[in-house]
Amino acid sequence: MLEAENQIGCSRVGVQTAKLKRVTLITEAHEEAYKEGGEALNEFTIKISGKQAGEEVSPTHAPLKEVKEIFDALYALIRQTTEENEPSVVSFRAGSLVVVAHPPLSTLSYLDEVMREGHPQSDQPYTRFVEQLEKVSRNSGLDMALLRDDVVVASITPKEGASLRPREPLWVRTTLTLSGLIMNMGGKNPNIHVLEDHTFETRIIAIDAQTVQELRLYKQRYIFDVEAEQALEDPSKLRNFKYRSHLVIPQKMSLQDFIAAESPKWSDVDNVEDWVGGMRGRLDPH
Amino acid sequence: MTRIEFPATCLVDTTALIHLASPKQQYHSNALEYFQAMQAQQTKFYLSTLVIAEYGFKGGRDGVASVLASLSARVCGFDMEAAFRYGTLAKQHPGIFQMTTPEKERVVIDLMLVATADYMGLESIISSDTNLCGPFLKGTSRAILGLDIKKPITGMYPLWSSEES
Repeated sequence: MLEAENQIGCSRVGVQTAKLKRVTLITEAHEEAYKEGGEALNEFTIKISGKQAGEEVSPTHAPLKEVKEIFDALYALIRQTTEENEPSVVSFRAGSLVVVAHPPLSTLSYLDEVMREGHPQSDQPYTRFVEQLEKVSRNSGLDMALLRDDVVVASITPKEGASLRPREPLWVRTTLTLSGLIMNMGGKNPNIHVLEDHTFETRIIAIDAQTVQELRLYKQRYIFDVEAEQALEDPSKLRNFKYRSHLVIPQKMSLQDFIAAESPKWSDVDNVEDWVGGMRGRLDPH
Repeated sequence: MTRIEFPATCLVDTTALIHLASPKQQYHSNALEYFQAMQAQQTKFYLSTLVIAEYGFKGGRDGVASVLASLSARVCGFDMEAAFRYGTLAKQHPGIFQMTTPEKERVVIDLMLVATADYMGLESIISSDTNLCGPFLKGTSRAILGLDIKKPITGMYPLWSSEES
């Protein structure tokens, strides 16, 4: 429901629906007062342009159905990225129709992270938000642009949808080497939980029940050769680990013991650089 | 004598390992001094699977296990992230493409090791290969210290760093 009221010389329209927590449409003058009131003015902006009923959309000619749908999407985005009771405010500006949202900081932080990564996943609140806006644009013929700090971060057109489209990462099957301690093991579908030495991340690796019997918890460090799925554009993202083989890392050995054990193997190598050069340069015709 | 700041992390090249393992090698005592000093400073060692392939050729599986045990080394494979970094680094070394084939292949492996150290964020590489400890460190995303065991550790400071190139 829309209701108009006059307040200290500026026209003000308040909107209350069952879904919208608190959304107020205010003029620029009121917005300045809002700024001066000391509230943080972190903004996320939706610029809507195009014609409705033969006239350019503007703060004085706002298409009710489309605005409601956009607000529904915005409200859902805020609700999914912030605490229930944090206040949210939007204002209208001219320049076609510009909706400036002042959501809680957690929503803005979330949006900034999505923008930084550049390829939002399909299950994210931002994705659902953009999809909803794409639907509004498609049905109404209106163009939209999303701006953060006056910088356009995505544009939406009726024909082409959003320019910053959500994208599924391309997962490639790869092999990796992990080393560390087993922190847990077993289960109905057997797996081991390996605390990795380098990253200190715990990797859950699917494994066969027979091999589990050969492994020890906590006390033994292992190197595991595993299969995994790796995100092509961000190789640090890994999933679906599967055991291939392992190597036990023996308990600590002194350098002197190492030399005693290994030196006989290298007794026929006269020049290390030549030998390694041969290995790397394939000087051997075979 | 200038105090040497030891790196916290170090990728070990095959040449350094063989010098360490074999007292008959020219730079064995240098290698031993480097590794003892770094162990005393709690440096973490990393072993590329490329180095494991080379060392394992004569050292075998148990030899590789001995390396891992004596250095408490972690293993890092030449995985996709290293491969991407290699492509970036290779562009910094256009001279590779003018080399003859055997030398080129050697350089490719050297650069694969540098790429591994680079993406893992390691601070140093230890080797008896002067090129690996110097010119090949050019273009890394952060400075990597080249520890050339041909130079004895005593009095050898500053050590070569890619930051100085």
